[in-house]
Amino acid sequence: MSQSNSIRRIVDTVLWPSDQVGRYVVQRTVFLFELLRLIYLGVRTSWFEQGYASRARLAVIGAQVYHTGFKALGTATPLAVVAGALVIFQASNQLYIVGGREHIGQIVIMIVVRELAPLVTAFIVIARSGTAVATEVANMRANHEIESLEALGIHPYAYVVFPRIMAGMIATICLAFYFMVAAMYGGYFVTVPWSNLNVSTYFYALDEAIQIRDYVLFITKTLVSGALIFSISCYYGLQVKQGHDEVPIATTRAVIHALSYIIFFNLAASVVFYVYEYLGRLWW
Amino acid sequence: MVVKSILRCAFEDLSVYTPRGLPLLQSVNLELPMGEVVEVTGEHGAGKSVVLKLLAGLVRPVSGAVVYNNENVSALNFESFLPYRRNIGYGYGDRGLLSAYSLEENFLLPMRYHPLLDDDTSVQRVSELLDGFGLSAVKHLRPGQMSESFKRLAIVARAMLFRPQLLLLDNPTTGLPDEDRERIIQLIQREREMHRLRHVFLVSKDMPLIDALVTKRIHIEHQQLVAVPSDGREPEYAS
Repeated sequence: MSQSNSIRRIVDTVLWPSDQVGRYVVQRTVFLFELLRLIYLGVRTSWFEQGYASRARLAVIGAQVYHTGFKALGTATPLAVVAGALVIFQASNQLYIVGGREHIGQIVIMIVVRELAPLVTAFIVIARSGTAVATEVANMRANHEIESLEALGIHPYAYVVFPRIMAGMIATICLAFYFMVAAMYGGYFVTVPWSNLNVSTYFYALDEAIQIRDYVLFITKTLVSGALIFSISCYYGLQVKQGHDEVPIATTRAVIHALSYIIFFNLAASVVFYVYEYLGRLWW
Repeated sequence: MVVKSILRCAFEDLSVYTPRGLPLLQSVNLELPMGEVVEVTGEHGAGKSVVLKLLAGLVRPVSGAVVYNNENVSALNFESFLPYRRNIGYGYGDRGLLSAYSLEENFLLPMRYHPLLDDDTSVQRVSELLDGFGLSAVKHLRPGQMSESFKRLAIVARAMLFRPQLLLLDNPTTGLPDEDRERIIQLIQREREMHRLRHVFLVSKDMPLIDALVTKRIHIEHQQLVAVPSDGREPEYAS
């Protein structure tokens, strides 16, 4: 008996890492399906509730886009200009040393459009609006507001969740576009005194470098990021069961999960993009 | 816009558990008294509020059925239950007003969301209701700016917004001044006499309210829900 117990302990110890990994993968997969279910139910219930319900949802979407997009411009502008300036300054100096300054456009597009704008915008949206939405929904749950909406025949997924996810997608793509423009243009004008980069050379290089596939990657990343941030925030907000003491826990979980999913998604999208680009080059 | 009448209501072999998995009600079979003001009684934590939530379609039983007329409504999805829901008013203490909106907006949102009436009539109905409950003076305030008693009054008023047939009130008058309690009693009586309100279920420890309104009782004990005989006999619980 004791021998079989010790064998079991050894097997458990050996298998512990794979057990943990398996558990994590299953939990994350289940969570992703829960998010998809939330989005599906939001769309489905919104489809059933038309008329004034649609106008009420539009009002919620408008308010959320204003708070998430427009009100974040003050935070996004300095970040975009500084990030753009750093990229342009570093790239132009390195290219000045090694030669090939005509490639500055490609480097700026590669870093700003494909990576920096979607990722930094997502971080801004998480920090400002992901936390706000998770707290708001969690408080609504703790105050029995979600329950009373349901009792009044207003589906919380149609009135609370769906408009926020839609608004999140719209606001994130708009804010990321603004970030991209501010980084590429604002960044350039900040670095003019030091970069020795001619205006016409820089903008011509940008114009030459940007391609449709860059926009495709940019749009995919920002739209999915917006949907992920707001569905995760609503999901954790709705998880509150008993009272207000659960609200900060829900908010923290929403932020941590949103951050990890956004980083993972951006990485995965970039990997798929570059693999596709590499295979395309091999093929053609 | 379809609204279904509620003529019969029953629990059939119904079991409900708490979120932590503890049994609240087990295999309850009960034909609920209709056309009465029914008080749900029982120990603290016995599941009185859950009975109201079951009737409002806010909690689903683990097994068994909540039956309206002859339809198992606990199996219906949100859209299919909506015609019944438009005939049910539900109020929970002083909680549930949307904190982002003013009191008037709290009333107008559901009226406009379900256009049972045209906009002018909706505005008129809301104004009449706010006047009736003495809430006109605070209609532009948000719930966070209002006193607890105003919130309680507003919750009862909102539950009566659609002139429901079935009214479910959970501790509607706890802590209210006498005149506000009296106002609620009179308005419920008037709605029952002059309008569509037929069945009222309430959970309360407020004796003046109970004395003034309650005509029947149902009681929860040993995870069973039973009708209390009006002749003073002890209720019989299933073994």
